[in-house]
Amino acid sequence: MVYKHIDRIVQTDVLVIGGGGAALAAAISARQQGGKVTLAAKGEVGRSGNSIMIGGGFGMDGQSASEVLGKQGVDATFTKERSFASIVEQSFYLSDQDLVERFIETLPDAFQPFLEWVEEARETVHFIPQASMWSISGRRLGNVLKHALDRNPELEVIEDTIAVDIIVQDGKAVGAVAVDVYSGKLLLIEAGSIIIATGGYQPFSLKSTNSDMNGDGIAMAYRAGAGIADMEFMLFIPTLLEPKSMKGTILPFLMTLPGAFPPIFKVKDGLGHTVAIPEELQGIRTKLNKLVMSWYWGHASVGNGLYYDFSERTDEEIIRAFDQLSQNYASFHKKGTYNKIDLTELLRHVLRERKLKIALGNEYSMGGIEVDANMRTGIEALFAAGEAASGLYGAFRGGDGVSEMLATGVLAGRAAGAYSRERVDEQAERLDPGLVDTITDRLLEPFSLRDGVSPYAVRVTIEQAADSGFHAVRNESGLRTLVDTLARIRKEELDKLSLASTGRTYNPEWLASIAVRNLLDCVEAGARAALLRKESRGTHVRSDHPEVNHEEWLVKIVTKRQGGEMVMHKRKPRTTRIPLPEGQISDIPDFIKSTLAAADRRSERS
Amino acid sequence: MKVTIHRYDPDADRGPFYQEYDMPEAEASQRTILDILHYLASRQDRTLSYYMHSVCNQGICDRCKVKASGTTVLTCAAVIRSEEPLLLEPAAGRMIKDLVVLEADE
Repeated sequence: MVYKHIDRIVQTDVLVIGGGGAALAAAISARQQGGKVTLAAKGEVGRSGNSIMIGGGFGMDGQSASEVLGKQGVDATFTKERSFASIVEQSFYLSDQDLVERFIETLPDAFQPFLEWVEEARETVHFIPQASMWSISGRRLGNVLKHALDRNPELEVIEDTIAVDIIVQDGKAVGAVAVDVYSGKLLLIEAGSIIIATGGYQPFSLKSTNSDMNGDGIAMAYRAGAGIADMEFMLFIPTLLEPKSMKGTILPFLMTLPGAFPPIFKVKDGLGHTVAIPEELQGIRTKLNKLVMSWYWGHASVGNGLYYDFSERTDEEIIRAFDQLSQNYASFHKKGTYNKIDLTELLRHVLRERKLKIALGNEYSMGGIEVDANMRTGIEALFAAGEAASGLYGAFRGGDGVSEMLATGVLAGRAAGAYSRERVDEQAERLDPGLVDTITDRLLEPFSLRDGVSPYAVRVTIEQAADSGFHAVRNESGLRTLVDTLARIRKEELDKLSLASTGRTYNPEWLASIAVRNLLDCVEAGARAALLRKESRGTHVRSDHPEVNHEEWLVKIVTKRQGGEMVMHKRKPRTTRIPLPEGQISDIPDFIKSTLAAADRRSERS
Repeated sequence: MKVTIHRYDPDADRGPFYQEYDMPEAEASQRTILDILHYLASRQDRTLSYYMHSVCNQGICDRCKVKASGTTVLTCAAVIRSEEPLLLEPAAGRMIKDLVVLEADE
């Protein structure tokens, strides 16, 4: 073999990296263009990644649901136009509008096959006509994805395989190096085009998401030379801290949803003070409710912690509330449970303690790989889909993650499939072995170093630094400390990672060395953008700059790797129908109020 | 609390053996087995291997099975409720390393 460390070579036309909804939608849609499609997933498709972690559903505009999908009883006055305006406004105008338009146009094409799979797999979804939204649980979404894979046996699937880096030759993505998790063997996947569908990044210690949300694909694309944008925008929702065995569940968020749980608790900070949300911002039935909680609870919880207080309620009221919660999820989960959580046990905890300790947990990252409206990145033959991409939701995700993964997956699959098809007769360039060896040498380096730093320890340092400097409410000094800490880790620790065991067979510490490198690239881009952005916008909240400053900061911060260094530049979002606003708004709550008022006006007009 | 864990590293060991760890009671009580394994791997023994890639930690992905004192459980869902010693062994399937297995259908 011409390569120093490669154990196996796979050749394909389109390589899709990822194991969730975006990857599968992309792979199936690429395959429809002909050609060989290979899916490389970190875990088992339908049993890994963040698609299975969802706690909601997927929606679209009422017009398309009625006209294209033939759904009855939907609000057809919620037109594509209104849906477009709603996404762009809630993005705080950072959406690339050509992408939003393409996304909305593609939703029916993405939902139609998905709903067929749901039916074939006899999985449960509930259609809620008024919201033109389908609700589903994560586990069942995973089952649907597994079914879709069974339906498409011509897809080559390589599971339990971690892609490490993209190989770029003469400015073009030509393949990837990957690790088989169980054997530790190294794969070279040569590909005509590559779609990254690996999800977002989550650098904090409290996890409601999958354990491996390291931003693998975002970091790989960044190292390959692509731009990554909006990395400072992290979405937070209430997440459980205690009982400790249930830590990380998003049940506290679900308990804020009207219908799921009655509003029988007060939210208090660690000093016992009630954290009040102004009346006009209570009970918002759109995603903006997340931003309201993030703003008010984020400010309150600094250093103090947060809890739901039930002390003013009787046993009967609490029991009735938990009955409602249990009923609400009964068709998706085993009776009396939510995922692994025994709701009766949680109820007993609340009856005993009269409180639930919670925190704001990071569920989603708006940032990711910069793409055009066809999901093309800045690198030839490299595409991105789903949460790994940026541009659709800007500074705040006003739409659904599942809708994003399915529609952008379809778009990326079409574009990559067409790209490879157009070049089917071209002779593939001979791959320069040196490019592959550089990647594998670096990958195996921790095995040869002695007395270095454990990747486990580096991960903890990154998480703690992110917890204190990069959380829901930020300021100059906290961000500066974070940026300095990350720079120190890069300088002093990243090249000194070493491992306790020297074998490659299922070596989690080695896998952590891949993870921390990716996580560091992502959080460093995010932290530096957050330090740069001296205003508040979407989920980026600066206590020292509460104003939403359209005059200076209605720009996206794009990070690129140039000459081995992280370089940032600003650009205006791409606009099509809605001009960028001017002026300043005093803070995030005021922006939310004006957005709600604009939505009301549109609703009255139609 | 005593935790005894099945160990075997095909790259280093001649055969399987059992290793005993001591967990501080406060770190074990009311935690999941996965929490305990994370604690041991990060604080006491970085060579310890268990299902650890793309873990949901919510009982959804169904991939983190081990045998806990004889019963097959998900590490993320099984909660420690007593101070009884805990024995952790690989679940059914082809044992790869320590507590890591590949199930028959994989």
